[in-house]
Amino acid sequence: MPVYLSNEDVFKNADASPAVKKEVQRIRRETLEAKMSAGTVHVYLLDPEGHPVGSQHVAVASKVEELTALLERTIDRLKVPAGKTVVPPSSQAAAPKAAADSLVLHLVGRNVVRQQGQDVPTKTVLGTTRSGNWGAYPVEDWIVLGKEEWSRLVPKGPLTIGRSWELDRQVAAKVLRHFYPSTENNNVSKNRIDRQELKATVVSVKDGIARARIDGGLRMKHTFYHRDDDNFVEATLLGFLDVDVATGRILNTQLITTDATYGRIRFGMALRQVVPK
Amino acid sequence: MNIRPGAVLAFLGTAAFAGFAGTQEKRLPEDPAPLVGKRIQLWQPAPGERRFDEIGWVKDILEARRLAKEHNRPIFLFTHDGHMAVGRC
Repeated sequence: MPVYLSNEDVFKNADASPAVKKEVQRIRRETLEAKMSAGTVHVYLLDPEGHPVGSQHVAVASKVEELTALLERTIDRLKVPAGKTVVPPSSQAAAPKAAADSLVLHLVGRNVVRQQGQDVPTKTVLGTTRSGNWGAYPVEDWIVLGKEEWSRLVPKGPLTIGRSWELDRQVAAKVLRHFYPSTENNNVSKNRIDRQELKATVVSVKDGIARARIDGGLRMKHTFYHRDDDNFVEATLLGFLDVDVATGRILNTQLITTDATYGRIRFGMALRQVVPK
Repeated sequence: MNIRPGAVLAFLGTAAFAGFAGTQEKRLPEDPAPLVGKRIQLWQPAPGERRFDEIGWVKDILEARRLAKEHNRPIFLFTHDGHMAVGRC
């Protein structure tokens, strides 16, 4: 039975289940009592009754041969027969449930390298030792804007060609705080925006839909670990909003970084609007 | 008045540039949708990068305990900081 859990969700979230917290603490305690390694970022193997039979620190488990050996030892020891998964596989990064009138945004970030003037995503051979470093995988975020929030992104009055406005700073900041690459620290509430520019300009009105181009920039302090450092996000942004001129409803939102750095890391972000589920 | 030819050329060049820049300011910026849309499409996670989703993950440890007992299977538990499912860890 494969299962993963986030320490933040279990131990720092006020809504966390006390029963789950107690169970994780029991597993760690029993693992230590059995003279095996235990910790916060750790693999635990438990028998069908829930008692520990093996463990590995992530630094060991990230070595393919080490984790494979632990799994095979456990299979032999417990005589686990081959079989189909009990729980059907499903997307683990699925869109959150959201109100029908909300604006749901999906964000993808990647580390990139500059090649012939283009940002090319770094590709990692997955399932190999050292393929789990920061930046090896794309990062994803879901951002949900309620109607009261997204409504503030569109100005009152007619959306005529050439009209320009600055996107609501508070709402835009809620989105931009997620514009950082793969790092250990993922507490967006601690991200400090030092410069934020998002200017929209209507470039076309066709069939009742106004398209507003977005140009902007961002400078944001985001620490790599949960301790202070001198890393800043510096990004140039480009995108657009499609707005129903009759209702003011935002029909499509897309935003990318055209040039983004985080310390010595080059990265890129791609944001798109999806239909609420 | 003695005016150097170079100064005249410099003035005319500056004036021409200013006129050109003024024209540029009035022109609408391009529709970015083709470029932006292409980038967004290219940068979506590829199936090969989402092999994590091929595992039949149980939703939480309590459910894993129940199913392990019911199906006589061991439990693989990974505890981590951040949110592994979206690569933020």
